[in-house]
Amino acid sequence: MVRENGKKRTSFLKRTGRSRMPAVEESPLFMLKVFVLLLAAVVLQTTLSPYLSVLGARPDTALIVVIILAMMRGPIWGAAVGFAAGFLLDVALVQTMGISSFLYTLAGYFSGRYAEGVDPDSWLPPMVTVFLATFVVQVLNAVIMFLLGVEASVNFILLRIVLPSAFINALLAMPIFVVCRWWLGGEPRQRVFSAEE
Amino acid sequence: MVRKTVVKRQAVLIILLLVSVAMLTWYFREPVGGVLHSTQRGGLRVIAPLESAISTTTSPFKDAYNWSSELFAARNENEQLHKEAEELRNEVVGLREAEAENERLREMLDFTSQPSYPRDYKHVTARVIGRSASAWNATITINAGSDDGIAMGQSVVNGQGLVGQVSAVATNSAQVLLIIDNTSHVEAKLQQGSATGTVIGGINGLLEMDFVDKDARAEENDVVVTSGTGQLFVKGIPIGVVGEVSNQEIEYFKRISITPFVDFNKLEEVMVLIPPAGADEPPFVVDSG
Repeated sequence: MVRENGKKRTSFLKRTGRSRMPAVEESPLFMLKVFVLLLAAVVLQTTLSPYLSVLGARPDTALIVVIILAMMRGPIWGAAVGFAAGFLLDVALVQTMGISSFLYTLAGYFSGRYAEGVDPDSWLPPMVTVFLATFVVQVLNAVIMFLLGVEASVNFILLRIVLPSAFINALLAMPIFVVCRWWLGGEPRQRVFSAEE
Repeated sequence: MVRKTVVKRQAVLIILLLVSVAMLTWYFREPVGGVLHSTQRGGLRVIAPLESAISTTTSPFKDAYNWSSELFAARNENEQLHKEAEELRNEVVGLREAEAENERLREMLDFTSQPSYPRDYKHVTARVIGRSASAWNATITINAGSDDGIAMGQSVVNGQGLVGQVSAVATNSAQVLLIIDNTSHVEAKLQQGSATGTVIGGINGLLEMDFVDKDARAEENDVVVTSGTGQLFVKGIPIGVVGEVSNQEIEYFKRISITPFVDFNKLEEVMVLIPPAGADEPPFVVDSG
């Protein structure tokens, strides 16, 4: 409630001296660009990411792109692109459909919410957000897998899957953030809450 | 205004989450020919050429990366190989003797009525164009599909041994469930002795042979091959060697850890074994959990 009543947001904006960002119209071209970006992220994830593994964990380029888009465009966009990216990933990997969509939708939505309170031009928030979101998504994924009957020790999951994935994704967050902003035309993040509200 | 926006965004979130859960439930309930499975196959048909193009374009870089990483391991491996070569030379002499004996015994036994792998089988060579992107699934995508004669359940091998089983097929590509996947089950036996069991994958990328009779003999470095039981896999394909043997009293069966012959991190090309015309297609069976 505190975050949603506008007071906290107002004080943040006054503190940073930023004025309300202009709302950005979503043109068909922009939608197409987002789709191409998601498709490229999914294809890269299935072809190149196995070669960039750290301690057995592989970068999740689709998740990184979802989080960055969520940070650039807000929680609704985050949830929508999260759902779309999860769907594409489940199709490309012939996985059980719905699991990735569910997790990426949550990641996109909450990354978008978190990003409303941070400086859109700073390099640190994307890395932190990607790290935290990957951590949570991997833990939730582990819980789902456990419920589906996959057995693994907590140590193995934490040290060989969750933490390495979060680290490698955080490292890749900045380059992918730059690519996303370049590809989408460097649009500023759309703020829902503002000083005027 | 703010409240309206909050309600709108929460509604979007809830709707998308509900659709995801509905999709998950539907996917488990519907048959392989259902709408979602068909959508996946259709999507794979579109994505596979993209994966293939990227895989081809980046192939030189991947080769360079593999070459440099292998260079560091090569020195130690060289010493190890010299030792092994010495041992193998001695072993070859014994094996030639055994081979001649084996040939004589084979002639004595009438094997003609038995399925003789791999003579009756054709094979399709395919390139690996995609891999599962998480530690939870161990699958690869190959650039050959039903147009090339590939069907669900067919065994996939490479020069080292058993790789897996075809688990999904599109016209121009197919997905292979690797034997190290946690849902993979392969009926197997030890080449030496009579021990049989089921080789199961795990998320740590290791193999384990379970359901082995407690009295069955199993020793380190024994070779494990497919038994052909249930006709899920072609009989006699090498899987790996026995590592550790666990024989705890509280368990009904003996558990054997297996070191696979195939290096699953460096799979580039594989062969799909096509059964002879008229033979039953092997059923595709995985543990759905």
